Amino acid sequence: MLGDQDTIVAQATAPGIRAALSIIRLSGKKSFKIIKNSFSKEVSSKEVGRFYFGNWQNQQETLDEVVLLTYPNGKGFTGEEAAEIICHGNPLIVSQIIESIIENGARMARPGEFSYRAVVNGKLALSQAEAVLELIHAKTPLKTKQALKSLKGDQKNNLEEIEQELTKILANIEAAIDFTTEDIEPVSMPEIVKKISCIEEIIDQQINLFSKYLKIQQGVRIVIAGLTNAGKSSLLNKLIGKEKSIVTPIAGTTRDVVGEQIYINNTLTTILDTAGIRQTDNEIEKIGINKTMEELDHADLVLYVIDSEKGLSFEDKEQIIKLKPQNTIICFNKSDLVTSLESTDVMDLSSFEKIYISCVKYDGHIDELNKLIDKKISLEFEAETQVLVLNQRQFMELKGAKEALLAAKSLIEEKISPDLVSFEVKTALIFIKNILHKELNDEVLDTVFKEFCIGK
Amino acid sequence: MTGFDVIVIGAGHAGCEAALASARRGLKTAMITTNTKHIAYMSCNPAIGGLAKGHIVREIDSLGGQMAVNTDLSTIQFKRLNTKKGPAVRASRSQCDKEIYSKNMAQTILQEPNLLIVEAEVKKLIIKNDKCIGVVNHDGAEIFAKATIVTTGTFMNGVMHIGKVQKQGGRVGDKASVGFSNQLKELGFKVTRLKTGTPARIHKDSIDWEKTIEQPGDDVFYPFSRKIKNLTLSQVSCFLSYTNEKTHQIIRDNLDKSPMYCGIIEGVGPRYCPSIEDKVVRFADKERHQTFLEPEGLNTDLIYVQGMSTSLPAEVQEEFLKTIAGLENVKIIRPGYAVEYDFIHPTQLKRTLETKQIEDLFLAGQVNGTSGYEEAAGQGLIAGINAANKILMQEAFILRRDQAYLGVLIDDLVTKGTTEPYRMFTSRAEYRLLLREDNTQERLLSEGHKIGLVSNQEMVDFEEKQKNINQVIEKLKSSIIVPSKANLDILQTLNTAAIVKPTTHEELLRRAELDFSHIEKLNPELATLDEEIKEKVEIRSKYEGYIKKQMELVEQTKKLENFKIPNTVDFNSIIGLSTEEKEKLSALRPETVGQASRISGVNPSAIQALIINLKGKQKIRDLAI
Repeated sequence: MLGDQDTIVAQATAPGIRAALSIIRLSGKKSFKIIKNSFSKEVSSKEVGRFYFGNWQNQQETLDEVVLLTYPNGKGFTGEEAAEIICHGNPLIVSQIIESIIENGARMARPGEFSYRAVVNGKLALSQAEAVLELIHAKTPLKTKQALKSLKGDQKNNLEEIEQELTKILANIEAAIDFTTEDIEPVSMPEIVKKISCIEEIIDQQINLFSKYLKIQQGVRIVIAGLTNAGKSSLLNKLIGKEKSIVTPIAGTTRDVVGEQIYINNTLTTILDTAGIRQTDNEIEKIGINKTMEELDHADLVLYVIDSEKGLSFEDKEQIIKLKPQNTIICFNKSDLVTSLESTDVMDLSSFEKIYISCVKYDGHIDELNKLIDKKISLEFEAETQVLVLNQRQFMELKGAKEALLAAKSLIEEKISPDLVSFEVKTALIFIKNILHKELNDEVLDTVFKEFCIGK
Repeated sequence: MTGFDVIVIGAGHAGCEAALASARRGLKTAMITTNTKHIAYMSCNPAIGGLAKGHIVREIDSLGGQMAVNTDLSTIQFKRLNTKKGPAVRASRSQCDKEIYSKNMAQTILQEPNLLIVEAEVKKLIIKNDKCIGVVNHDGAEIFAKATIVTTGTFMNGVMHIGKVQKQGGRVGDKASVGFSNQLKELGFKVTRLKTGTPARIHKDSIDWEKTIEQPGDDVFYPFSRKIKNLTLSQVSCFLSYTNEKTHQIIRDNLDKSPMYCGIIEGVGPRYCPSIEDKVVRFADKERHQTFLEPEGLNTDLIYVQGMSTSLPAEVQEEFLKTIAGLENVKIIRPGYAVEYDFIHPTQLKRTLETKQIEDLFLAGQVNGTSGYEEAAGQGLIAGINAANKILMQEAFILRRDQAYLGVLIDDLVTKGTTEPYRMFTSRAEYRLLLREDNTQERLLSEGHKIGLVSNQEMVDFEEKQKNINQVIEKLKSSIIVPSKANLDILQTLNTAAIVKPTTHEELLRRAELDFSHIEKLNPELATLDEEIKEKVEIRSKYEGYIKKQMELVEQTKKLENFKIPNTVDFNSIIGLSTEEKEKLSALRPETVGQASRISGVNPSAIQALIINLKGKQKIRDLAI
């Protein structure tokens, strides 16, 4: 097969959101090179049957703590050098790890490709191979057609539009090359740049849709913030119904971000408890506070907790002013301990959703809070309910197409010859065709003859 | 007449190359033709080369063929096309003196010691036990040979059309070969009709040249052959003119007289070479169509009216030609015509061009559904080499798609077949950046040497040249300039960005805006180098990244290309193939998995299934592909 020498990667476990762990498989000549680039520990490429615990990193950033199993050349399930990465089940993490592996030179595996390699390398007995054939067989045209049918209308149209447009562009470039002595006027290079930019826009839309899709899979991120000892950890515990954060009355206990995943009305929700914000000289605590600030930026919803007993302090106001009213709920905690709350409210909070709770006393408040959270979340995600059908492999093809088009554009801008521009546009077209399960045949020449009058 | 090694039927461009390739290997060769005065005759336009075709001519040269030398010796105008579109698609084209071309080739053939020309019409092949062992001529004479190469061009059941008048023949002045293709049909070959056409030839003195635009050739000549240095003949210009609304009106008014439009012609014509009728109908909004007036030689009155191929009646041809600027008083010497002929579906051939069903029978050229002198000559050469290899019990000679346009040509023909006359385009080559005119010898000369058609001395000379090129590249890589005031000034005068760190000359050469002449400013001693070397060095430096990318793709497919499918395989028994795929694979019987993967309608998943099944038949474990 074309690409049998490539290093391939794929999620081996079912891409579900409820799994605690996921396994990512990697196989091919570059496996150990990729591990070397991304894994925090030294890994032996010779020893058989080793496993390692460490961080999976992309550049300096840690993506996840993982368990890594390594198989030197000939010892893997595919008969090649290979590895399995056991990471956390969060789809976003899985996706990020796979992306980092692809950035380092692997590509997404095709359906059944691991087993296919196992067979050709003599690792699977012939009897077992039949199962592989079944897998491959499932890809025959009828099934492919069904799969394509499942592509949502707009998205498929978009891809086919890109396919046709790229074919036309390529036909124009080729006409100018192969029929240079003919009296024809193919589209000029500056025009082609414009056309490519239009296609790029459509591709970007698709890429954004996919990112949103990942986010939905990942669920909603709710961040609990507030000053130290306002009762954030208690709130988290109330929401998830168990003791997770260490709840103590000493300020600054939660120095890192603590998170938990729960379902609120069937939406996977990650709730993050953050370090309390306050002026501090403690270096470790400072790091925690900075992290809190970061989380606030990325949150879909912020629950800002105020200690009603202490009232709305100057520091609270400083924080609240940075928050967006549409995705913030201000929680007046310990409301059982005070009689008048409004007296402390010298800041205008009318644009914010507010709720009065007592994490220690009444559970009823929590139900109300849950309802309010649900309302906010459905608002936030209403626009994103469109079902996305690109899978990770197709997403990568789309990114590949975009990269090739960018290269084509810069070649044109640098006035480099059309034979290379053609190479890049063709590469992009092949990527798009892969998504649509099509192959590049003679349609470029067909288009040339259709569009241009050519003859000796 | 008995006891030949090889019989070649036909003396066109394919026949000549086939016969020479065989005779030069020391094999006793007979070339049978109905008309010895039309050896290597250019039936249509007076040009050789052009996009992708020029590439093929150079490939023929590196493999030891004759076309390149012959073209150089008969060139009356030379042009290098696409000079600004990248080195991969730069191509040479020569206008040739048709008569001299034909004479030179005849001379070469006559001088070839092992080659005998026989004037006769072949009526039948002699087939015994599914092997071709010779031919029977019109006079009943039998000639026997170990291999037979059919290069009959458009002559099999050829019918010429001018208006509604039809005449048997493969070309004006030559009779058709009737009955021969019926035997092929009886033998089980799939034979169908194709169509092609040619424009009128007009008298040069009837043209008012003042009203046309002169198109001179280039000043610099880049010979097709490595053996030729300079032009032999004096050079001429071509002239450009255009049709207009009046021309189109006349053509539209007379469409009912065109055999194409009233259903007389059933053969399929090429889309890239439509008749003027076709152009006017299909591109109705085009206000004018260009025509080049091309001299057919130095000592002839004939002018070829390029772009005006037609099968309209002669009087209509005259009428519409007279509306074209410069042709008001045109005198037609020979009207244009369409020709219909039988061709053999090339999917019935192996990559050696031997037929699958009849052993020792080879087919080459237009008879395989191609178009063009170059495509024909290339096939003739490959068929000749393989017939000789077979007789000499040597391995089959097969060029890969990443190695030569000839590899692409033959692989396309035998794998995909064709429904219109097949012409080569650079866009047919997926590894186009590797298949350049400038690196033809690097790609193929050693192959020609291995076959025995390129001499030891030629090989030594070539290697010497390669050494020089490598030395120049090494030199550029080791010459470093620093960002000193003096150097920065030079860069500024060259209109290129300043450097901030020490930079090699090679790195500078890679910049889009710089070429070799700019680097000479930094190192004047480079100026004395041969232009050919400069060009090669420049291309190699500038395109290194892309060349590497394509090489990687080639590497990936190599295993598939080398993965042979045993001819005992029953595709119907393979699990994981659709019915359509089983049918296609059974009908075509690809020789390798790589070839199978290019059959349209055979999906990648089928290739996986094929590999698994083929592997499964062997012993597991010792067969890692």
